[in-house]
Amino acid sequence: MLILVGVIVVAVVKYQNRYKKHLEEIEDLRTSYDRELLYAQLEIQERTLRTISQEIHDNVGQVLSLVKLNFFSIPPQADINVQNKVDLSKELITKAIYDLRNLSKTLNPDYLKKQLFSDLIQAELEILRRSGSFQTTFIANGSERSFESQKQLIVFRIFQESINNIIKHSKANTVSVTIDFNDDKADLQIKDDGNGFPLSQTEDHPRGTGIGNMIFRAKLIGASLDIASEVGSGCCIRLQIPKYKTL
Amino acid sequence: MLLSFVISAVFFKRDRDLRLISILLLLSVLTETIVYTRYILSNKTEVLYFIYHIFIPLEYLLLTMYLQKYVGSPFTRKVMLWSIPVFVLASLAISWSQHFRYPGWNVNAEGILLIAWVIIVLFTLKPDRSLFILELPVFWISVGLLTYFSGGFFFNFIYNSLLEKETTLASNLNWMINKVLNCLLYLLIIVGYLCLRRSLSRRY
Repeated sequence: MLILVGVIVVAVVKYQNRYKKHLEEIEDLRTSYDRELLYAQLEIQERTLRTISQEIHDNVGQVLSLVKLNFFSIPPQADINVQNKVDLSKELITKAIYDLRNLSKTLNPDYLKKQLFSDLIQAELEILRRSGSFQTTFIANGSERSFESQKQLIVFRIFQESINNIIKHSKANTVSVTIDFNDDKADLQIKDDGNGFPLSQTEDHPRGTGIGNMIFRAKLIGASLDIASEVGSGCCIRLQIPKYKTL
Repeated sequence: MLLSFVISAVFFKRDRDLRLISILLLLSVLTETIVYTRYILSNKTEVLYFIYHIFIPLEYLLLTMYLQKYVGSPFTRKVMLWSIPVFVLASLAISWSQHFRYPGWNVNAEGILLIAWVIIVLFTLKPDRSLFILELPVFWISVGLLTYFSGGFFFNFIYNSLLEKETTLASNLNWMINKVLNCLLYLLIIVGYLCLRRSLSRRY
């Protein structure tokens, strides 16, 4: 009788162990599938952005350059008002071409992968500063190392998403970005002095929402994303990115 | 037994694997009905053991066909299926040599094989994503078979000799051991079927 009970108990325990392993395998498969799906989505997204970037550069940029050329070929006007308008138009066209060129670059994944990450951050903060609505600071500590190109692209998109959120929702005046390059990881912090938001808003963000995408992209590259915020106290986003590109 | 058969009839269409158990329960009910009717008609002097010598190979066939579905190893499944004709012939040979008396040796031979298959099933059962082992019908049926065949093992060997020497004692022991084990077996089969009802509602 005891042997019988023993056999049954051992069988149940062994089944339970196999059951746990089975659940873990299913979870791994699910995670792997989600990862592949997201990579595919990101690839499609980046291809679209590349196409838009090329269209901006090849079509819109070219047209504006021709417009600029036409304006610069207008001889000086006797009427001061007309001349002022021509000069203003030249400035605006030049600014538009400059902004479009920057936009084209930040959309183009091939360009982003080749740049130093700190240069990309500074360029993005420069655009923010030129809008006149924000004061920005950027501090880079440690010696900069390159990320894997795909990882750099994903981290930069997370950074862009957080900047977009600051522009759209925070009503902040100051944005400060710090990046620490350590031996085995990089630590990126983005702080603003805006309205802030209750943290519970971030806990159930599904994929497809801005924060949801940030969290999922961070998981995809094995990074950890922490969001600290309180109403009235601004927001601090911290992204810890493991491992660099091995040269 | 009758209750387990009725419950199995209710679930007959809902699970393909358990249909074999349902058919087995039907055969069991028919066998016991025939044996008991003959026993009553003969004024309780004669037990038709001959019927059991036909029933036991059929029982082994159905149970092995059922259990082999839950074994992962193709080699083991083949061995189980090949054991069916081997056992049927061996059982008939034993029955002939024992002059169709109480089929103690047949039951024990069947028991040894079924205990082995049940242990293999219990230790190699593939995890079902949504169900714990205690919610699987095959678990309860296997435990029932394990209890029944291991419980009556030693008694089955000595029953025929005991019947010749101590008839009353043999009858009493037979009632105590076999009947109790039978009740336990059919109770666990019923639990298995009730788990089926639960598992069907939780699967997707």
